[in-house]
Amino acid sequence: MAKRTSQMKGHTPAPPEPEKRAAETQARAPEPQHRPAAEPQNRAASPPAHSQAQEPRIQDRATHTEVVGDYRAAHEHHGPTLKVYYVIFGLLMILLVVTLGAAAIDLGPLNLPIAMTIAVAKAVLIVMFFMHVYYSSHLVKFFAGAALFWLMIMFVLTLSDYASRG
Amino acid sequence: VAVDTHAGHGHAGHGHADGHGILHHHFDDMEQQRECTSLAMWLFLATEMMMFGGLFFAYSLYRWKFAGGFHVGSSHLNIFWGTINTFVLLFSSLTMALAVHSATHRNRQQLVLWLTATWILGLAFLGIKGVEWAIDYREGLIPAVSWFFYSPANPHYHEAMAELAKWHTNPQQVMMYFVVYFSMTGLHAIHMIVGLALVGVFIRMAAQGKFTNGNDQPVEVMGLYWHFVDIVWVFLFPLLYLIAGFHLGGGGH
Repeated sequence: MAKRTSQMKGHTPAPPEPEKRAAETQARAPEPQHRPAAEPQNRAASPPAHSQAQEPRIQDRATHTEVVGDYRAAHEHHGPTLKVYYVIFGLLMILLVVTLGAAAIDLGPLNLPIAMTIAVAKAVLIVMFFMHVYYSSHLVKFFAGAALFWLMIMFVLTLSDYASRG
Repeated sequence: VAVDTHAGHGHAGHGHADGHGILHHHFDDMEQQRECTSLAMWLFLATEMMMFGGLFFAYSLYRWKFAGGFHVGSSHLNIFWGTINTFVLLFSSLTMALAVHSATHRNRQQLVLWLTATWILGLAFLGIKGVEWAIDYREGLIPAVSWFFYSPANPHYHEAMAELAKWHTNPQQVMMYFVVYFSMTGLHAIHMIVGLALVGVFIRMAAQGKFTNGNDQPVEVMGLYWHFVDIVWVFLFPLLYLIAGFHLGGGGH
């Protein structure tokens, strides 16, 4: 996670003009080969002392494009493996059975909070893994959370008004 | 580290050459484009949450004010079919997730398979919902359309009124439960219909190979919509069906 953050930061600020131009030409240029094969072009611009095998990270910071390339390589397959999907589905099924079980027992005022807790747990599993938020950037996480935050404002403030009026 | 991952991901699904072919000109690279489309969809889903949120709030308020009416109203629903439908929709979320996975990994055959499975499950959900609504219609539990459960037209009128008295409520409160019930499940069903239409078009396009050439983002974004509609149901099920609880072996009617 920390690694990704540092890379994101490296990605965000606009690169100095010459670098940017170099980055753009590389991004636009047709690139039939695999990325490592294209790297020698850029390496010419950076200190030649760094060998690719020994210090790839320094190499990656050489240009905007290469940082992005690194980020892309590490996260393009953002998304879980098939096994994760099946495990999440299994958990959702267990939670569905638990919901029914909890509803079959009369716990008075506790029934509603229990049912809602289970529903929230199901929703979190779906959002995090089926909707890939767990594997997404902080910005996507922020967007997903923002709507929830506004909903909470509506519920908490308005219901507290109704409740306090008796 | 970076070089190793480059080498490790050299298989299908990664390629830059054809990846660039579907990179729209106003984006710097695929990752930026991907991030942008996801963010836009999440922004749309946030507005959807606001829309459903208003209904969930109305539900909360009336359930609090009309506790007895909501208890009796909920006991009219069929928990068996509600549970089956919850299972069907959760299962369709799994098949949709697998469809997105297939698109990312450029497997056209599996993509079409999982999208078709999702479509069938979505249709099954709507079918079951339709049967439930038809039963409500026959029993006279649809406000303004077919509302006679609490009138002498119902052969079990006296039992129905006795049940209301037991929960210190009246037909108007139960009617409000059903107004909320049909508003929420109706808006949800509209979303399901939109989802089915989308999945239908996507099956056709997937069969033509339009999402397995590196252009997997439309499937990913449509998946977000489908999962969102599933999550709405995850909350609707306990809130609408399970208020009155149920007795094992009995079930709700």
